[in-house]
Amino acid sequence: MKDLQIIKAYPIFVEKKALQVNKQVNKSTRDEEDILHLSRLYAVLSLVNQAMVRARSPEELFADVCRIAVENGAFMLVWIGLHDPETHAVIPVAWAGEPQDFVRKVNVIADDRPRGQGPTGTAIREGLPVIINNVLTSRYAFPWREELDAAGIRAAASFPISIGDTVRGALTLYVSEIDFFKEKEIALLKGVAEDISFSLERMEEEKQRRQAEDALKESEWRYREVFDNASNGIFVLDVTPEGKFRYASLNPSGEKMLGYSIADISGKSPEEFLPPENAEILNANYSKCIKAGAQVDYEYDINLNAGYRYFHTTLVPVRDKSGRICRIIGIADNITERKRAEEELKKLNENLEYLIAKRTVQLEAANKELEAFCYSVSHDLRAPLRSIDGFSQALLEDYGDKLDAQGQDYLRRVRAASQHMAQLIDDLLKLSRVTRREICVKKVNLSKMALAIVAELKSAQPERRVDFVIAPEVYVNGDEGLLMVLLENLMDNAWKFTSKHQHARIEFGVIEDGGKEVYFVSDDGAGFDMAYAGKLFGAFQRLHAMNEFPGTGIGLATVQRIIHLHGGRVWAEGAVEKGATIYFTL
Amino acid sequence: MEKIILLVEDNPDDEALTIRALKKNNILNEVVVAHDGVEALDYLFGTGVYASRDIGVMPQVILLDLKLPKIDGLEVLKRLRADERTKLLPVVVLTTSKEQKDIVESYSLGANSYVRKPVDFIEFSEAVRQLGLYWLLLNEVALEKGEV
Repeated sequence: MKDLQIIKAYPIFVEKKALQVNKQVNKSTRDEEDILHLSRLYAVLSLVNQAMVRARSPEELFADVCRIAVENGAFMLVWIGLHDPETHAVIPVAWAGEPQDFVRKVNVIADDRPRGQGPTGTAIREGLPVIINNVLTSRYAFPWREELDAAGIRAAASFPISIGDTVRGALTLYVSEIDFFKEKEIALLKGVAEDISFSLERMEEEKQRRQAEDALKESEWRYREVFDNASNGIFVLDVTPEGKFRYASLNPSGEKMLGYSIADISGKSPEEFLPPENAEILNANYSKCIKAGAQVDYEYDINLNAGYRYFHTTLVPVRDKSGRICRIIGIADNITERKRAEEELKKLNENLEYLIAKRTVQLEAANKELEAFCYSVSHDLRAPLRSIDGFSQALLEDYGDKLDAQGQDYLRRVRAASQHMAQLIDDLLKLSRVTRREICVKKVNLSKMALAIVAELKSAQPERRVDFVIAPEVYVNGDEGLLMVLLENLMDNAWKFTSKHQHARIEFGVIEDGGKEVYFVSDDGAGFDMAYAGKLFGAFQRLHAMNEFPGTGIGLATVQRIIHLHGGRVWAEGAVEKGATIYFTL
Repeated sequence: MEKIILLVEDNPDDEALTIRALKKNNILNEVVVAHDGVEALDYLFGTGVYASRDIGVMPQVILLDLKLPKIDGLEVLKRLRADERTKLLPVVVLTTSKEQKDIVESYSLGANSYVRKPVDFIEFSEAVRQLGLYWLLLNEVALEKGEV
């Protein structure tokens, strides 16, 4: 009955046979032995408890337990093995007593194989204490029978060591007498194993806690590095329930920016260390974050101890469990230099704008003056010419009979000269009008324009034999009026410089050059010497004598001006008596 | 009734040439010359030096230069058109300018015609001939009420 009780109270594996043998032992001897055994085991329990407090590592505790059990419990051999869940090997980690090499030789495993059926393997596998009170007769000890016998071991007990619900290993004790392990011994030793388990669990927890702590420290250290070395000013404000802002942290860059160290301002509100006007600025900024209830981002300037500063600051609110903003994290960027540069740039721009406005006014005045001048020219320069021409004609009409042929010729020359000068004045005015006009860009059909000019030229001198080749559907973007003047000038020139030829050919067309359209007007007339090509587009520059081809030398200057106004380019190619081609882009 | 031409011209050369051109084309009407804007207005409204003039007699046509001393041609035109007595008088602007601005302004102020004086006297003479033909012979002047 007693043995059954043991089994009930502590689920253990106890070999029935061994217990039966136990019953046959003489009672009085047994009592004495029991008392001795138990007092020794109490001592072991007590010493193990002390060791638990002392031990700083499982290994240390295991070694202590084995030593105490041998020294104070009078066990022959004690060892602790840990279970390797992968190989199921039970690896001895501590032992004491004799013979020591037995522990190394036992080669215990904790699975279903024969070497897993011993007390240690079974205890680990089943999670229950296993008692063998006669190793020589037990089938559980069979694989090690010879070693056990050689070592003088007669009884063995193994107790699982667990962390939580997981069996991690076992405490195995050997004695040289049969039937050593009885109810009370088993209970006490079970207590030892439980103490070890408890201690192991605690140490494991401690280890995990320490690892977590280390990880936290590591991460904190990393953040601290960022915090300490950031070029941005970083600060943390505690927000009191009354709505005050107190500095909790400030990184070195922040200290430099603010001109105060965290030691000086920790726990203080801005108004407690800053002049009122600055405290007001900062408090107002921080209030923005509270008001918004979200991240805010702003720029502001402030006159600090450290000097005039411009900051770009981002504030991030942190809420407590109740949702109240209890903290604000701030990141400030010193943008004083940037602002100064911006300011300078702005000033430069303003100055530039002022200068441009001034120049524009001057230019407008100059333009007005030019306009007045042109007006005056058109009026006042022509009036005397009219007198010269008119009175020369009057002379010819009224006194022609009093002049000989030469005298009359002189008067005619006077008239021709005054008329030529009038033409010059008109052409000059046209040239100046080209630049005075505002350009109005739209799609213009140059082909149509050229054909209209051709019709006009033909009707003026129907007797001339000229072939015109006009490329169809040439469209450009430009000012219609100016392009008309341009094309008129070019076609007039071509018409004029082919006038000495019996038969002529004038072409208007377009060619491609490097992806750009190049327009041209070409003729096969008098042409020009390329050596003088540079003079072609200057005002009053003429390459032909007046009696050869009439003209004022302003036509191509006007053409060039119109093309420049359109952002284009103009150039000429030609050879004497081989014709000329004027190319232009728009 | 004599058809008077009022020539408003400050340049004596132009005055002589215009009168010559008129004569050359057998336009032998009386030509009254005003040498500035003030004189022209005085003639038309019977004021100043023309205080004693019978303003019942109005010119058949006014040849008006634009660039004039004291009061310029455009201003003269404006005042003519603003006055009941003269608002229907034919005015031919006869000037050196061919500025678009002057042409537009003249017409918008009520000029009946705009002629640019060419430098070539023969051309000028031809222009004057056509003017005379149109304004003195062909054109029927709008008469004042009660004059019919």
